Amino acid sequence: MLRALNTAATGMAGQQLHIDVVANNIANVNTNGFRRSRAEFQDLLYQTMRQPGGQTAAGGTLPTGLQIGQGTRTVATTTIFEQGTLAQSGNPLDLAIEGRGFFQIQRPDGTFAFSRAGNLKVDVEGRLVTVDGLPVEPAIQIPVDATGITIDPSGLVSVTQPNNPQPIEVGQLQLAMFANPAGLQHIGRSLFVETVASGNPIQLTPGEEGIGTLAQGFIEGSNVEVVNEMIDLISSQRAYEMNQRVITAADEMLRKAMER
Amino acid sequence: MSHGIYSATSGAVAQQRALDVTANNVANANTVGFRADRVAFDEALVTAGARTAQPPSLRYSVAERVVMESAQGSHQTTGNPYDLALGGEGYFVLSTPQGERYTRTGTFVLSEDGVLRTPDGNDLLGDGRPDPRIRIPLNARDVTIGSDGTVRADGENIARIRVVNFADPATLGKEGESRFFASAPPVAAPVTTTVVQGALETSNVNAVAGLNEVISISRLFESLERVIQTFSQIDSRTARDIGSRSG
Repeated sequence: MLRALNTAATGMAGQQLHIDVVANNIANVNTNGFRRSRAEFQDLLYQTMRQPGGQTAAGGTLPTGLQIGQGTRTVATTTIFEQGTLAQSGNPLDLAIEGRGFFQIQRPDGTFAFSRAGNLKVDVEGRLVTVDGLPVEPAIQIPVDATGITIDPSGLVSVTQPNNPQPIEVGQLQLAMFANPAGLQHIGRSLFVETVASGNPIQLTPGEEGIGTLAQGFIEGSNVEVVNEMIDLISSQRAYEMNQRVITAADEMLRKAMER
Repeated sequence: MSHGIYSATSGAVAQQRALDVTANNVANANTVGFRADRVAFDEALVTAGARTAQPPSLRYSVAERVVMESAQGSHQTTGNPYDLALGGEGYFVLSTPQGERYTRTGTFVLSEDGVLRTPDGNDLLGDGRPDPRIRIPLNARDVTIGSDGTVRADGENIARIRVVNFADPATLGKEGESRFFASAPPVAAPVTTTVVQGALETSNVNAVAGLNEVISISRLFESLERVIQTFSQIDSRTARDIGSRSG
């Protein structure tokens, strides 16, 4: 009897975590470059009371066994790296990646983080930085007197300056790619860091080997689909209620058994 | 003592077990590729009736078998290229430290060296020789998986996912973590079984049926409990009446 109580409790805990994941997805529906997560569930270990296919005393095999499951557990939250929607912004420093690549961002401690959010800015020193002021790697220096910035699909950055009709190249943007992007770790602020599971970053020039190209003046939104998240939310809430119902029933049966 | 009280108790115990099984189904209502279980109730006749002085007509209910419901769950599109669903009967083959295991849960991820595996680290097997693992080239732009399980990277065939079935589904047991073990070797899956890329098979737990089951189990338990109570009253009355007459 107590087994059913515990089993239903694992179901409730799982659904609670599912709602946490959905809530974070919905909260980030307007976050540039956000990648939605998904909670993955598995059934827990089974208690085998009779092995299926086991031998009977009479020499035959058991047609079915007796295995009782103990509930569910969350095995992983997988980040889904589907392309987000591209929105035209007209801002020359907004860059969207059409492909699998990531911008490389240098963190204050010198290590690198990776991001899909391409709403870049120029800081006081003229460096190309993220909205949080972290420089893009390789560093791109924009001259202070630049009147126009052009970034072509392969990441070549050129500027025009007053009294010079000829655009001047100031740098080449590079992107990083991972064998298993789902293994990247979220660290907040639209940044990811590499892990053993993601593999090492492979640095490539945009346009090479599936890494993707850059679209200037476009911003990549979140890949959260509100409708799907709402469906997940509703089904999760109902599943939670059902588990609660099982607990009530088990409790009721226990009470009846003890009343005698 | 009335013997019927044992029959009623066996029924109540069997209902407890049924609730355990239903609780597991409901807890896994959102587990991808999960197959619901159902308790099969059997009637156990008391064969040694004469020796134990029990009337041979007395029957006991036992829940000694759990049957897996083989109905297919629905397919939910995810858009993730390594989410795979099976249409029709069949199982994916996994390599685990304990040997080959089988699953319908198609949430695969790439390892750091490009091998397709489950999130808990068991490699998906194809029919390649000598290495049956499915290795996706790191620089592949576009990976497609055909309905026959053929994996193509940028249009080039690189592997074929093995899909197997079992002549007798009763030889399959659940191991937890969405895996099945088999006590008999698998056979090839029927040709009608397809691999669907970018979709997952939802759990085949029917939520409404599950709730109905919970309600009917608790009602049945209540009735059996009432029967037990009645028997116990009869017994105590018998003891009292017989006692008062003899005294």
